[in-house]
Amino acid sequence: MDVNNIFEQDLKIVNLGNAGFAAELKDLGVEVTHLDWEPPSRGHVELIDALEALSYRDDIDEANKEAIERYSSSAPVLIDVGRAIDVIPGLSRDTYLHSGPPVAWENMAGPMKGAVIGALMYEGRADNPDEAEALAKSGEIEFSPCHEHNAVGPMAGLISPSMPVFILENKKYGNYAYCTFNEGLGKVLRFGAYSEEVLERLKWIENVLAPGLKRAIALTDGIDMRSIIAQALHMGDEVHNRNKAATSLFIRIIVPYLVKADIPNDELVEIVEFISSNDHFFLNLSMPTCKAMLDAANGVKGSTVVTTMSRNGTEFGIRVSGLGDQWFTGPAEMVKGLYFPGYSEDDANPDIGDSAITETAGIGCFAMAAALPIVQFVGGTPQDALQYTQQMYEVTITDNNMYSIPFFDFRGTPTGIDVRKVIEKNILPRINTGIAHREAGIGQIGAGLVSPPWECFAKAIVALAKEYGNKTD
Amino acid sequence: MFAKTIVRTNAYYDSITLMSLTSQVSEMAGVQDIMVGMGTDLNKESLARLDLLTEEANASSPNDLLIGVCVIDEETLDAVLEETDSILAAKKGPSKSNVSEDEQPRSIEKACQLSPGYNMAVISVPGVYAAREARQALRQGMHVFLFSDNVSVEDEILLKKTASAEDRLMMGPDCGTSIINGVPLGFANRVRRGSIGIVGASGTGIQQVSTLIDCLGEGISQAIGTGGRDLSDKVGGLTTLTALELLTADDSTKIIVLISKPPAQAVVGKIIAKAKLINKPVVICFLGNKTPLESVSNNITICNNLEEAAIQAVGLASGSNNITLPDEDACGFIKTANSQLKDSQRYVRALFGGGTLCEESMMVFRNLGISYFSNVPSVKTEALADVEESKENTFLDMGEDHFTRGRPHPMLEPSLRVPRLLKEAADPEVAVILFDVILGHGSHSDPAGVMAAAVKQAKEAAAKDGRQLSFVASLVGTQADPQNFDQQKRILEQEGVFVCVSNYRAANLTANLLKK
Repeated sequence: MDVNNIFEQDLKIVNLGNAGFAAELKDLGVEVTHLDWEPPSRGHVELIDALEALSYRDDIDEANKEAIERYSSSAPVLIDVGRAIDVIPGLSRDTYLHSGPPVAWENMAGPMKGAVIGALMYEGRADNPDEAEALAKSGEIEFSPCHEHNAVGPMAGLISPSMPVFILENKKYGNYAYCTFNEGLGKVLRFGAYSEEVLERLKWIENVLAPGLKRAIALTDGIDMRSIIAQALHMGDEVHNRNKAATSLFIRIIVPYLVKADIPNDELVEIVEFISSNDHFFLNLSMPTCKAMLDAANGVKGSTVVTTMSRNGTEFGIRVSGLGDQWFTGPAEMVKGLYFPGYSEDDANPDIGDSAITETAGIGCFAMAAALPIVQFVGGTPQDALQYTQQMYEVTITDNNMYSIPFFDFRGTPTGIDVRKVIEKNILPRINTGIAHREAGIGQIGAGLVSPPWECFAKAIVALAKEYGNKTD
Repeated sequence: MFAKTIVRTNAYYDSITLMSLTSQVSEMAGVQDIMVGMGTDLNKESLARLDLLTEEANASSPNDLLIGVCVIDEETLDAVLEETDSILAAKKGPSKSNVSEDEQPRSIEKACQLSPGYNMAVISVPGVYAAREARQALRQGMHVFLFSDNVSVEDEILLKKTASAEDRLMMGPDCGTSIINGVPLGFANRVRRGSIGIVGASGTGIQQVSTLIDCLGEGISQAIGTGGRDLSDKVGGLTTLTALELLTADDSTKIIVLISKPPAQAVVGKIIAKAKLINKPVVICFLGNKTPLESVSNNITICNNLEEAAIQAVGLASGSNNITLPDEDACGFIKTANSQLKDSQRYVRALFGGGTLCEESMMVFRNLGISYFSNVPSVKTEALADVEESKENTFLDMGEDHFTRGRPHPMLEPSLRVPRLLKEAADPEVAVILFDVILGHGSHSDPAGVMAAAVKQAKEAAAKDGRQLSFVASLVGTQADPQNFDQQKRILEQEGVFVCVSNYRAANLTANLLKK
């Protein structure tokens, strides 16, 4: 279009601001679209400045492409089971990992405190909850985020030194990811329960389940995690809150090896029964799968792609590829959703757990359009589920190369949250999540949807602009 | 009394919607005060003034909606909130619960993705956000009509240079009026199409000249607004020069009219040099230009007021040198008015919505040697000490920031001028009240009605006080305008307002009324 022929064209107008202008133009028969405009960055001028400094930048787009490429070409494979202290980097006898960004004992939410108490008793560091609490308070115990140790954990996400963990290797980039075993629903450590039955189950996991799975996995060539997830998405899972299909697929793969692994028969029965009776068993595999891939995408200079979204029940924290290990936090929000009978929002703990790693990797809520039955669990209608996923394309960089949505003509799930897009469009990522009771040990009381607090992204864009705002050619 | 402040987070509405909402709701029975606005510092101040600024409101962001109300009872409060919600719901359009292709795009980029081929962006978002949106539009290859003001001059220069490099037309910021291919953009009148092209750094200036041209039987090929600052030293006429080139190359344009408030002297030279090279007649009206321009070239006609510019242009277009506007017979009006004046009644108070019309009227007074004060003085000695208090002859541009901060422009909401009009009418020293009524797209649907009601009230109050006042209005518009020129004229005349077809005439008539 040349400026000199503007007078020979029919005007096709986009109008933003005063809707009256558009209405009058429409009345005149002029082709006009009135935007549903709102100021970017929720109207904060300093954030717009940061956004502007980072927008239309080939170098940043390139960096993001690189981060996405590293994510997409990752090959996470389940290779082994090991003891946390032996395999997870940076762990000592006194190191206890938890979900979310860093948090001190005194600021921990109820479920997380309960899980710490339970873990200390499980490790034999305390005989009773009072002793455990005193030890936790003493400063002797070092609390550290799972995320800072290539690990992830659902809900409280507690990993103590002798807990067994899945070991996933990213065959493409050589990095590892770790996660504990899913204990099932009800009274479980990840919701802060520490009764005898909880500790006994943890011991059983350590002594029976873990060694059994270790032997079975050793017979495989490694289990490709992405293909299980890709299939499960077409079977109604989004592998965050619904893992029924993925767990079933995992059983199909692992049982022949379990049978061949010379496991005493009574233990074999227990193992198979345990996995088969827990719809969420695969969550603790989908999470480290995402983690292994996103860790590979982290640390790309100039990239504005989010590589971590995580909560500790007190704060929500995100990390961004181009800013490495820096956390950007804000207060964790309350989850909006459906409650189990007898519970309400008054009973709920704010958002908690590392499981938002799934959304960060383009699944979970981002794949809800593939998992329509999930709305019976988190609330809303199938139409809502379609819309939630649809909206996430607005804040992401790419369509996933592995995970697709049949209803959208097998379009890849929205993947790679761009801090710039979140800020520009005022659209926060959405997360499907379970709701924990705010008191330790009661467990899950519902499920629903939640978003990170805006501050996380506001702080991140400012930090990004500070680091990369001036283009260096 | 019930006072309540409500904060709705992340519920953005544009300021024009909210201001018109505020004025609608404030008219409801039982409402004492209401402020509806986004959580900007300015709006927080307004709430604080009404004693409605809660802690929550104070912590709100510019994307949060603030509703502060003071009402007589709780029932009224409910009614107000219900009304507010229904107005806002209507503005937001149908619910967005469906994944549908009809969904309104939220950004320029998205609009272009959904449907390519947009070639013009009309932008009237708040100034702090406007430059960014204009940049987006230019990036998408669009021409831009940027109505918003409060855009920094640095951004303006950058936008105009970008546009120029990309071969795009950047109209504005602070561009009130354009007519492109017969399509009115911003505040513009329905004028017939014809052979006269206008370039103007003044919205109301373009409206005055284009409506007068229409009234004289000619038409407009294109009217290109440049934004009020285009002919400043810093901006250097970037858009004006582009527009002149465009009209030079446009075969439909036979005559070019160039209008501006006083431009920077350095820029005048640049523009004249450019105009000289144009192979078409160019009519130039630099209102209130301090150093009178010589007729520098025989294709250039210099005019001193907007009416003259229209007449000259139509004369050149039609080849006739006998062009005149229909004459109003003011003799009777002047006579009656003068006979009724008391000795104390010596001054005019002029309340303008159009900044250029205010400027032109002051120029008339200046040239006649009548002193005056103003909120937009051309020299310091003309400045009002307090713009809320008129002094002797006073000219107010009520579209200026002081009056429009947080409130709609008087062209959108003429009632903004009503309290001031009543106040002036109550001043025993006032003889005449002069105002403009601007019709066309973008403007209020019945500005004459609003002003006529105020005139009636003012006259009655003055009569009780034993005084008679004269009212003079300049009416800018055409028969084809949505408000209809004749009908608006009648409404004003019914209240005894003397209506002039041009602003220049209205100012001269007013000056006459002051002479004893």
